[in-house]
Amino acid sequence: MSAEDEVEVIEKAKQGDARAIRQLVDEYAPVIFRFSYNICRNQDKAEHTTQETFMSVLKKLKQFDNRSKFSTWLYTIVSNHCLMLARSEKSRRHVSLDDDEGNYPDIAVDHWDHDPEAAVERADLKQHLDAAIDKLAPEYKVIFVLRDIEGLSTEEVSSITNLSVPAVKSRLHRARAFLRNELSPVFDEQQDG
Amino acid sequence: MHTHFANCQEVVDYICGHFGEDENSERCRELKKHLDACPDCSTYCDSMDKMIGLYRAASPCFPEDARKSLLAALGVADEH
Repeated sequence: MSAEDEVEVIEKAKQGDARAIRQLVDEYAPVIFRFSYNICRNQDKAEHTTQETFMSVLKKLKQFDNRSKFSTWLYTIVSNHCLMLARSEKSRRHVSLDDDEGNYPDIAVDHWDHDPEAAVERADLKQHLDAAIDKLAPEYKVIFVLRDIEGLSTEEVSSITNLSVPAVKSRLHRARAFLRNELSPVFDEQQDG
Repeated sequence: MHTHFANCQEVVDYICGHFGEDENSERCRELKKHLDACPDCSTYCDSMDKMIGLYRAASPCFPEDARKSLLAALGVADEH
């Protein structure tokens, strides 16, 4: 969908045009679902969050004034839904990365000699990935997924999360280092074995 | 020796950005030079890239059933 088409579709969706709303769903639901899944690592929860996000989007659509990109606005809404869901699961214990010390990996590391797509087909690797992600606090996960997985700019992530650019960079660095360190033993073991 | 320079470039940009450095600053140019010559840093950048690749590869597609449920919940189910 071109930017011009998108503006027109959004205007029609604001008026309740069913076809326009379906177009927005087809364009953005896969993005929202993927983002949600990458935060919660659970298909049912990701589907639920996608639905909740679109309900909010339709409710608030008249407030959207095209001053930011529509996708940025959507990411703001879905991020809030993901954080709300995570906070409601109070039994979860996440690793704190707020301490400046101790979260930076040693530079001298073994090479991960594996193709990610081939590696993820292995159930044990996927389990390790899910376990590592699960330990990461949602506030860090959101930053990591927006910046590294979705490929948004630091400024966009700052705008979506309402954090300063330096705060985004700091959280991103810690999240990357944490995940990499968590996964390192698995990859090293694969390489040795 | 740099097989993934584009990815390391991103890491350099990130590191420079993290410290408020312009990516064309002398310090960032030095950093790029170092990455070109340092096997450990290069390996580290490569593993970061693989970690992100692994995360991306583990993302499922949006299921058709979920799309239908979503459209129904929004009151705009397919017409056919």
